[in-house]
Amino acid sequence: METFEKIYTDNYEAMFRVARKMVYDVDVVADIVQEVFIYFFDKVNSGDVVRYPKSWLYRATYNKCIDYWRDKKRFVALDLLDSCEIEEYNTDHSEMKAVLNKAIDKLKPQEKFLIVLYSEGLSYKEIAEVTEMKFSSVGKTLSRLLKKIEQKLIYQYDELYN
Amino acid sequence: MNCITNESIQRFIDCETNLDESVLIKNHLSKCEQCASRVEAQQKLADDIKLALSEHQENYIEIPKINIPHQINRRRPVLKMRMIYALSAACLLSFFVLTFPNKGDFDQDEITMLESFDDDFDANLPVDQQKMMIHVVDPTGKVTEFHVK
Repeated sequence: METFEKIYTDNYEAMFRVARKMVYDVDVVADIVQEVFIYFFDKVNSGDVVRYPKSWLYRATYNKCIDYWRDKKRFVALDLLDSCEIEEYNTDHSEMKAVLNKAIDKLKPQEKFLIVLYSEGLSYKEIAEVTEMKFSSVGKTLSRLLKKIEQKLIYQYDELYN
Repeated sequence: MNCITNESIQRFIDCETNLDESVLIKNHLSKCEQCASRVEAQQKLADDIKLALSEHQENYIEIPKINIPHQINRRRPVLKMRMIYALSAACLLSFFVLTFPNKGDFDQDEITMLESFDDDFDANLPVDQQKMMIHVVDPTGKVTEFHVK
């Protein structure tokens, strides 16, 4: 089995990127990733066998992000979308990205996680392993999600310009 | 040929189709302009999503250094504790043995009854017709013998 140090150095950046796409605050992201690796270290040290460390880490990161959102919702009655600094975007291209991000944020957490994994360039096999979804249904779910985002984009553009 | 599904388009743009499937899709796309534009639009949307999500990403992610605590042998303290318990028990036992030694005298305070049958036991007779002998031992150790017919 790989050593903890190797798993840590190999996967830290990927976990950071995923958490960053799920939660926008960099400091919170660093805390989340640190907690995930501490949890992983304790688990391995207590004698538990983790067959696929990378998949386990992705899932743990996602769960920690969900925990963070729940805590945030409990104390702050603001929408998650408010944290996106849409006003900062000036050019048309940036505006398009902002609108797209807004549409992605409107998805359910597990849907957003799927899109995040997809944007990370994971193969369908890896996505299925992480999300515990059937391999055969990954393509179908992704195409539906893309359609859903497209619909939300159309709706947002209508809201903005009509 | 029927037009290709969104799922097939998605798998095609993600290079997750097998060889036969991709040949079929490519053949269809060369003939169907509508599907070709759908593939193009879906590809663009997927690329835009990836680009939009990477908007928040840092160019360089610093990996914080970790200090892994030394692996302690958890078995050793357990063995040490077991040895302490065993030694304590042995000390306690030897204390009682030395303080209250066994005097070896007969210290019976109850009557004991031992029943037995005679040697000429006839297995063909019922139990109530058998000759039985009862030995009664009183607290002083005196044995009294009773014969029951």
